[in-house]
Formats: sequence, structure tokens, C-alpha cells
Amino acid sequence: MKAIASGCCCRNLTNHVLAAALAVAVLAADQGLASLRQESGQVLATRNPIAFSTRQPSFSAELAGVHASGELFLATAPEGAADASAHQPAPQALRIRYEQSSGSSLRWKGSGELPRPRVRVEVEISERGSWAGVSVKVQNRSGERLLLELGWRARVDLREPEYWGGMSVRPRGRACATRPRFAYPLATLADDRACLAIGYEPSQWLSYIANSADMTHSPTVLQTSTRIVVDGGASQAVSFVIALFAGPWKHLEALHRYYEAFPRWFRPLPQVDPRVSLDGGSYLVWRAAPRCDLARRLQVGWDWCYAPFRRTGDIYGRRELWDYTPARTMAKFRAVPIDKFHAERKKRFSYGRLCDTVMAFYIPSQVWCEEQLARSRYADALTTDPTVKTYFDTPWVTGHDNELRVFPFNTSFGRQSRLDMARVVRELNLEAFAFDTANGGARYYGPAVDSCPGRAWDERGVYVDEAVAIGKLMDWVHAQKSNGHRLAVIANPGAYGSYMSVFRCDSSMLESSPAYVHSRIADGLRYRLGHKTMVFWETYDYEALLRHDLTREQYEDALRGMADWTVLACLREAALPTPRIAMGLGPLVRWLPILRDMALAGWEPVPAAVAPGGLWTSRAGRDLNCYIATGNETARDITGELLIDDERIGGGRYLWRRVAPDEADGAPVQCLVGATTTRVPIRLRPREPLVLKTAAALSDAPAGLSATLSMRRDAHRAVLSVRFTGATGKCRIRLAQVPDMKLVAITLGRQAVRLPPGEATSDIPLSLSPPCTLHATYVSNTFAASKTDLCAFPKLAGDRMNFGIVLGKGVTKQARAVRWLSEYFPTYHRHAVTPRRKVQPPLVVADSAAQVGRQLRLIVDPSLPQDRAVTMPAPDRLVVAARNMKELERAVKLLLAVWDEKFFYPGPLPGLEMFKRVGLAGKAIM
Amino acid sequence: MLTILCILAFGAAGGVQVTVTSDPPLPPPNLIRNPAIEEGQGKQPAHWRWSTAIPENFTVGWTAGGRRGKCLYIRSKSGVMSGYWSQSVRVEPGVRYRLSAYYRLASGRILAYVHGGAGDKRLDERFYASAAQMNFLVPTFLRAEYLRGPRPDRWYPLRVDFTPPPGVRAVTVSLGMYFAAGEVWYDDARLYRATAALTVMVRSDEDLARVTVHRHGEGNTMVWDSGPLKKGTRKLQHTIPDAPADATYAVTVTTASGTRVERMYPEEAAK
Repeated sequence: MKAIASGCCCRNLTNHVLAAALAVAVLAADQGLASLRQESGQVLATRNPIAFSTRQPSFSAELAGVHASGELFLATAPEGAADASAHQPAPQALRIRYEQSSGSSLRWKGSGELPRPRVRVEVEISERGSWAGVSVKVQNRSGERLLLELGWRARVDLREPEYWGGMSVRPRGRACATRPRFAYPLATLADDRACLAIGYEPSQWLSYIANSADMTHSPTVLQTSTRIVVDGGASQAVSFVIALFAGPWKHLEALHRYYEAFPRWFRPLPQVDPRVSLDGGSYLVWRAAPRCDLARRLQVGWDWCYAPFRRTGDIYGRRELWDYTPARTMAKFRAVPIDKFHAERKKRFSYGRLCDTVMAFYIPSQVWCEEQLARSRYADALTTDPTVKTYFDTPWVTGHDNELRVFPFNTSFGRQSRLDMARVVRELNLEAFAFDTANGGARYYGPAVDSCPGRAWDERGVYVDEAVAIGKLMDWVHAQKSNGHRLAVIANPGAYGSYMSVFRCDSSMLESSPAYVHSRIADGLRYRLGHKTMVFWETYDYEALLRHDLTREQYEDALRGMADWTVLACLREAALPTPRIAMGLGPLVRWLPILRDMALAGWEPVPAAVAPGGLWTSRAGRDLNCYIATGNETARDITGELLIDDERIGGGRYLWRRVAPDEADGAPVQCLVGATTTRVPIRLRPREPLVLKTAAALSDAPAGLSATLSMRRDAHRAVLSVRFTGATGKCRIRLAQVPDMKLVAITLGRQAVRLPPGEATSDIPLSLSPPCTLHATYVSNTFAASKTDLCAFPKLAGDRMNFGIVLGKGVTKQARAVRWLSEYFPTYHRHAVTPRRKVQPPLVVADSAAQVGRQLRLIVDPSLPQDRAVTMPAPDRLVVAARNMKELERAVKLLLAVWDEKFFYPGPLPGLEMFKRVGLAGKAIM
Repeated sequence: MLTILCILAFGAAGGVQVTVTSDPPLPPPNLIRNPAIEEGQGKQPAHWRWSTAIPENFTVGWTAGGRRGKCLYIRSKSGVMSGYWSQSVRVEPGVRYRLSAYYRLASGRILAYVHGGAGDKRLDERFYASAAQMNFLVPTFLRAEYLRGPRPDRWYPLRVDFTPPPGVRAVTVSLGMYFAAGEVWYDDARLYRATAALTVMVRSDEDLARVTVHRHGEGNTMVWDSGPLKKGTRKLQHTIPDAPADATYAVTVTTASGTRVERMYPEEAAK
């Protein structure tokens, strides 16, 4: 039996590897029993080429001409580490005995022990999606606490290796390490043939992960390890995942497989309010006078209700803590009696209902507390990590407090935080918490450390990363219910925040402008969020960027450039720009509905498309709800073919239509159908984006088929046309759903095609004799009138709109939908029209008092049919009728969205001095 | 402390003697070694060392083309890593210092910073500048002439003020390229005490009417004004505790008879 010979190259560790004396047990886990088999002294997985030795904790793999191998290592803390017992065992031979379990499963067991430290290690192999899962359990059979580092060291022969460990991709030719504070629970080494990936099962609490690579020689070396603390007589398990993937997508392939194996962490919790996946409001709703209509236009679903408390650490506002002496003067709205503060706060939060926006109650992840409060009540929670900022004596959370860093789990402050959070949930009927400073990274060494999961160690002693406490608090939030939903977590974790917090949030802001896309820093958060919504929070620093002596025309030209760049940046990340960025930039605001739909479809790490001219590609969604985007950031026209890997989209031969907020929407797209790929000829002008959406999928498509797709969309109907040329043959087609529409008819040539029962996405057999054209007709679920007719309905008559709102059955004047309709035109004319014009809202009258005249009638009646809520029985009669108030509100919002195209308003540009000078402040670029 | 004595010629109304002293003496000594980047051997400028985590990302050198003579040069191929020309400087804790240098930035983003530490005390003071003309939005999204920022053919001054915390007796001065593809030249670095206690002593054979101290140049900012002096004042002494050390001062003495005597410090005094 060979001892494991690898030396530990971890920093701060002795080079004494204990792995040689590990007691090894290889157990086929329940999940993967059927997939594992034993062959020639190896345990083989079926979904991955990883083969584990039955004699030692090591693996080897071969794929696409790439060979990889690696072994487990275990090391003790170095001399001098607090509480460390610097054991220096001599390598010993393993003694392994095999045992095959009954039934079809394979079961492998081995045992062996070290005299110092007395540990026993069990290894359990399973299949986790397309990964080999390896759980390593360390049993401490000594009477003393052990500080251990456990990980894998692997070699792989790559040609042009790239390393990724959580931050930016590092090129070949160097040794590099990702700082534990910024490490992803996954590390990869890859070239254009294959990717070796080693990571951790993401539900684990691990305070320390070190990823590194050495690409200075061949084979290249990839290493990852974690530090654990095992008390005497106790045991601790760490679950790893290992894989070698073929293909050109490098770390993106590993991320895709990671998301697939552990989907819980990369989509929002299903039970939370879905509006948290829309855009953040950047204080359009959380303000003294909420701007509901503008928030709606800008696709806002939630707002970041900043510091809605008087004293950091007392988020509820308890009576016994109300009066204190702050370090600086309070803002007026906080310097009020307690009852008034609670009442005002409640009023402010009620704007969420008014604006149909989730109001996320801001907390600084409960890692900051006002100094006097922290010292007098929560001393056990103080974070003392000398390597991070733990004290603010300058304005921070509230502005007037000095604040200390605290640890909100299993401490007095953690317990009080949960009590306070429960109280604000009840008082404000909350739907979400906003977790600021959710990065983690600070180390807590305090008295509660031994009661926490995820203990690690460093030269100062045993600690737990702050992200453990933040993650636990997020779990607590998710366990709370309000308004029929689980409470949601919206986070600000930074680009390289700890996985323990970022994986747990439901959506997130990146507190930066889209310029972070260019620097690739945005990728850090994007990779951590997976399919979840990411919003860029900050706008550009125009005053630092642009000269202050430009003309108005020059500013407008510059702002158009910024808008165009922002569209491309958001498409690259399937991200959303908050109103701070979008306001005033018409060309950007017009793209928001498409960006919203892409965000909801969910970013995908593997773009599955290659564009000509080195253009980037990105993807959101899959199968028949899939978007592929590219854009021309060069100063020249680019012509060529987009090559789409159909297998990565979902398996069919996909046909694509173009989506755009302008005349390019539905413009012809030629799809050249291949055996496994589709080629799409494209021509892009400088700054031009291209977004394709799957319109249909073919099965058994004849070779050499070409399909040109175009679509005409109106409010009430849409027609997809597919012009086939090339090969003749039979195939089947699935048609994508069009949002808020249903498929009602298909013709091929002059022949009607029988619609399948049920969903439009069902397979429909076709017999193609090209050239021929398929027409698929969709009708709206909501509108029975065209966009032209709907937009012709409202007109200005003097200082009032030319219609009245009639409250039909089931609708009162207090209904939100009535308010939205009433305020739409006055708001538009007050803000969007030059010169500003004061317009009275439409008269709102009860049905019984309705005069004959132009009417927008609202009705709620449970006996009504589900669809076609918006009708125009006559040119002067617009009716919105629904079965319940929720459906009515939805229909009214859709009606307003139709009107938005005519009555377009992107909000105001910021009131900067340089814009004021040329009359642009508060105006917009249309 | 060095005292520099300035004795002025006697005017028609009698003798006026002006003594200007400062602690430290002005101009303050430059603590940077090889500040003009003129010394060196082969490709290596003396006292300056190059450091980066990814050497292959950079081309660096000791090149001609400085403000006068040679200078430090950095070209960064990509933004994957930063890199710096550096040297260590001994300092006194609690004293205000200023680092100044000149840079010419063709593209990219630079960082000049002063850093050091002792125990848990840390010093990290920074200066950033970004090139406008090569901003990634130019030319496709923005015209270069719209952007603020340094022109690639001009030298610009940079300045970093800092006070070493207790225990910090040495700092590192780093002049570099900060995570951006680009090209930059550095020259004429200075690190010196930022302030000095400036003492003006005046003796006269006739009554003094007023004494003023101005910063010479840059708007001639008034630093101190005695105001109208009492009759019979023939001796005056005043100390300005935190006078900027990189300035030249003009001391103007007006006697009761209207005679004006002006003296420059330090240039004239140094003669």
C-alpha cells in the first residue's frame, strides 16, 4: 500500500501530510449506488470520467486527451497557531480491507489510524449531478481539539491553462492564489479542451476556503482546501465535488454543472414574492413622495428601504433604547418622538402597496451596532478581527452613530436581532429584508464561536466567518412568512462576497455602475448569483467623466453613447440597471422590458453561441424561453454568422426571432439548421445590440433546412412567419409561447395545421416542401383591441383628459388601479412634456352617475371570463373587466404599458450643475 | 533646526533687519533617493525597484523622455494585475509629509500611494488618475474630446499627503499602473515634510507700521498680517506654525514713514 506522497503546499501549514495514514473507507452513497461501479481497483462514476482508487484517497481521469489526477491531503495547524497541536506523524502504510455490501450496491470500507493525531477518516463517494461527490469525515479520536486543513491537490496536463478560483480568470504561466476572503467554493483549471474542477457542496458552512493554481510548469497544479476544527472525540465532515468536463467553455462549464447539481442556491427561493426578481427602485418608492408611475415604467419590483430606524442595532425602535446621545446630530426625520417615528415609518412602508413594490427593510446584515448599545448590551457579539474595519467614528449606517462591528448569530445581538426583525415584519407587513454589507469576510473569535458551525482557524485562533452569521440570518428570514410568501432576501454582497451569504439571497444589487462589466468585476457577483437577478445600483459619475464645458448637443451625444453602452453591458450579464442609471436615458429605458424578461429567464453561464469578430455572447433562459445576446462594441460594422450550439439550449434545432424595442423587433432572422448547431447570419453596426429569442424548436429537421423568421406583434395579436427553404422532409415543431398570448392557428402554405390539444409547446408534425411558409397566429389573453386603437383613446381636452373613469361593479375609487389610471396623464404631462403642463386627472364617477361620453370603465365580476380583460366595444368606450381585483390591476398595468409606447417618459436626468448650465437637468434623452 | 538670517540694507528712513527662520528649513529636504530618476545602471534606475504579481503583463523601463532627462516607464498589457515602481523612505511618526511627482499618462489608470504599518497601525494614502482618451468607451460610445482627464502629451503633478501613525518609521512610495491596460511615465518625485514653523523677526530703527507674509506666486495668498502696529513698535516676532513647506514666502515690512521692504524666503535667504 502506498502512502499519499503529496506535500502540503498550503501557506501557514507544516508540510506534514497526514493523508498517508488516513483510514479510508470508500462507501457508495445511496444517491449514486446505481451509477458507481468497481473496475480494476477503481470506483468509477458514469456521468464523469473521475475514477477513484480503492487503495488510497486519490483519483485520476482522462477526457478529450487531457489527463488529470489528484489526491486528498490533510494537514495540521502549524506551530504557533492558537490551540494547535502540531502533530508530526510519520507516514504509515494504509491498511484497507474491502467489503461488498448486499444487493446491487457496492460498498467499500477501509480503516486505519494514526497514533498522533489519532484520527480516522472515512471517504464516501457519490454522484452529485455530473460531479463525483466525495464526503470526507474526520473523526478525532484524541482528547484534544484538532485544527486541520483538508483539501485536494490535483495535476492536469493542459496546453493553455487558465485558472479561476472566484475572482478574475488568470492566464497561464504563473502561480496564483485566490484570497480566502474572496474564494468561490469551486476552483478550475481549464483549456479549450477540458476543465478540471474541484469544489465544495454549497450548503456547507466553511469559513475558510483557499484556492490556488501553479501554471508555471506542466502539468499544472490545482489545489483547494478548507480549514476545520474538530473537538476531541467529535467528528466533522467536508463534502467535495470533483469533475473533469470536456468542451471549450472552461470555468463557465463548471459553473453550469455546479448550478445544475445544486439548483437551490442559484435561483430565488420559490416561495418568495416574485417581484424581488425585478429591478430595484433606488429610492423611487422609498421616499417622502413616492413616484409610482415612474417606478412602474422602469420595471421596479422592489425598493431598498435604507436605514428605517433611529439607532443602528435597534432596528425596531424600542422604547427603552429610544433616548440616547448620538455621536452626531440626527437627521430631522429621526429626531422625533418614538410614536411619531413608528407612525411615519409605517406610512412610508405603505407606499409599497400603493406602488405595487416590495419594500425591503434595510439592515446592515446586522453586523453593525451603535457603539454605546454594542458595548453595554452585546459585548459577547463584538467582532475583533484586526484585519478589517470594526469601528466607524465617521458617518456610516445612520450617519449620526458611531458603530461597532458585531456578530449576529448565537450571540446576545443575534437573538435580539431576530426578535426585532420579527417585530418589524409584523408591524410593517414586510415581504423582504435588504441585507447591506453582506460580503462576510470578517472573522469572529468571540465567546460564541464554539457554538457556531463552520469553525476555522488562523494564527489568532479559532474563528467563524461573519458570513456564517449573515447566512444564518438569511435562513431565518426565509423561514418567516408574510402575505402568503416566505420573506425574501435582497442583498448587497459586493462582487466577491462569501458564498454563504450570496448563495442564500434571492436577488442582489451590485453597488457599482455597469462599468464593472468592462473590468470583469461584475462577473464575480454574476457567477455567485447564478440565475438570480442582479441589478447595477450606481449610476456613472458624469461629473468626473465628462468635461464641464460641453454644449447641450455634446452632452446629449455623450449620454446616448452611455445609454447604448449600458444596454450592451446589461445584456452581457443579463442584468438590470436601476432607475438611478436609467432615468433620463430614453434609449436605455426602451430596452428595460427586454432586460427584465432576460433577467427573469435567468442568466446562464454557458452562452452556447459564438459570434463573429470576437464579439461577446451571453445567454439567459433555456429551451423555448431562451435569449441569446451579442453586441458590437467596436467602431466598425461586423458581419458574419452567429453559431449556436443547440444541444446546450435544450436539445432541439432552435429557430430564433429578433426582439428589440424598436423597428428591429421581429425583423427577419435566417436560421441555417445543422446537425447540432444553428447558424444565424448577422450584420451589426457599431453600438448595435442583437437579442434573439427562441421562437420554435424542430425535431428531426431535414439536413440543409433554412428558416427565416419574422414576427409582427400588436397588443391583441401576433403572427410568427417562418419561411422554409432548402430540404424537403417531415419533422416536428414546438412553438414558443408569446407572453400573455395563446396560439390559435397555424397554417403551412395554404393548409391549416391541426393544433394539438393543450400547450402550444406540444410537438406538431409538419411535412415540409420548401419553399413554404408557416404562419402561427397568437391572440392576446388581455387585449381585444389593437395598439393603435388603444393609444388613440386618450387625448387631452383643454386641461383635462378627454375621458372619464367609470367605476363599474366591484370597483371603488380607492382601488389602486383607479389611482394608477388617474395619475398617469397628469404625471406624464407634469414631467415628460415640455413645457410642463398641469393636467387634471380624468373624472372618476360611479357607474350610476356616468354620463354618456368617452369612458374607461372598470369592472370586477367573478362571473366574467378569464381572458380579454381589455376591450373597446366602441371607439369612445374602453373597458377593463376582470374576475378579481388582482386580475384587474394586472390588466390595467398592461394597458399602461401599451400607452407607455406613445406617452413615453424615461424619467429625469440628474440635476448636475453641468446639465443645469445647458438646460438638461431634469430633462431626458428620448 | 536651522536658522537662516536675512539682513536687509538700511533704507532712507533707517535700518530694517528681517530674520526669517523655519523648522525645518525651507526648502525641506527631499527624502526620495534618485528623485529625478537620472541615476542608475543598465536598465535599472538606482534605488527604485519594480514589483508586480504578474511580470509578463508589463513592460517597464528607465527611459529617456522625462521632464528633464530620464524617467520611470510602465506599459501594462491588460488589467489583470497592478504593478509599481517603489522605494522605502524613513519617516517620523506623527509628522505631516507630502509625496509629489509628475506623471504623463497615455492610457490606463494609475495609482501612486504611500503605505506602511506597525502593529495594527496602517498607513495607506492614495492618488488615482485615469486617462481619458483611451477610456474604453472611446471612440465607439464617446468622443475623446468629451472626457475629462489628462492629455497624453503633458506632464501633470500628483500629490499625496500623509501622516505616519505612531510606530511607523518607514513607508513605501509606489508609483504604478492600477489594474488597467495602459502606458505611463513618472518623473521628479519628492517626499518631504509638508509643513514648517515659519518665524519672522523684524527689528527697525524707526517705528514699524505693518508686517505681512504672503505665499509668493499662486495668487499671493496672505498667510499672516500683523495689522496696524502700535506706535513705538520697533521689534516684532511671529511664528506661523503650519506653513506649507513647498512654498516661497514674501515678507513685507512697512515702516511708519512709509518705507516698504520686501524679502523672499527661502530663495533670497539661501543665497
